[in-house]
Amino acid sequence: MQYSEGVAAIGGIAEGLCYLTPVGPASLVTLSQAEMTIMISYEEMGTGSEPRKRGTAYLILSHGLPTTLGANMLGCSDQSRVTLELAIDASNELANVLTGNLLPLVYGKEREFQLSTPRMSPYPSSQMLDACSLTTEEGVLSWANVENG
Amino acid sequence: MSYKILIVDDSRIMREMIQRTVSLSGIAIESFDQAADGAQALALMKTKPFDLVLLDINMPVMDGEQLLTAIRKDETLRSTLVIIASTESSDTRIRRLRLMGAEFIHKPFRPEDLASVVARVAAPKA
Repeated sequence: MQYSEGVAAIGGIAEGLCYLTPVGPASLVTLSQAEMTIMISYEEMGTGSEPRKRGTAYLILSHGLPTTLGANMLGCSDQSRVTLELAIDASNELANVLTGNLLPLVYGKEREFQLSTPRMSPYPSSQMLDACSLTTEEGVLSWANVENG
Repeated sequence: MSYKILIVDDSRIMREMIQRTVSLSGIAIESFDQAADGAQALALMKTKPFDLVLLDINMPVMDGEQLLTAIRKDETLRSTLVIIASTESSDTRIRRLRLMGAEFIHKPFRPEDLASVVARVAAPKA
């Protein structure tokens, strides 16, 4: 996946799903900058003879962004009404939609993938391949792929 | 005609977003119900009739494709209008879902896109 292609895709989804305002490419959200990391495991479906692709995708969100996601997706201007549960739910959904849209850019459109339920994760320690980061007016988000095998 | 609508998605926030969007679509709505997975949705559909089901694909317990299959196999449910809202991009899978009589909208969708699909599938047939 071309970096610019990934950033553009993240920007479109951040704006269309979560009403964030994209600014431009960014550096990877670091451990100290991250408020929340969401992971999704994926495995290619199908019965072809070619080895199936499998791995883990991560969405890393900078401080304040999970609450903003929750407020924006609920259509709620008062962020104090966004509980931790709702912030996690919003972050999970963004991770789900990003991964569903970015895996075809990484591996090609015709592969079908089964995605796990998104869940919170520690900041990933593995080498992150295909990492793209976007700065928005509301914070920074990074999507990264770690392929198994 | 007022529609009884079921929204099926494991994300509460997404269910709320979809409900809000459908409310703005212009179709007459009698009621909304929500379910967090396919199994919950199927159980609810067997106790109460729905005119339209909006569902996600990736869900725990029973996913959207399994739910759609179950709906089409059940004589009392098979004519239910179904719209799938998903990130699925495989043409093969989308074609398979459409052959099962489902309309498809790609996430993320703009409110006006979802409104347009809902209005199209919910329009009275001539």
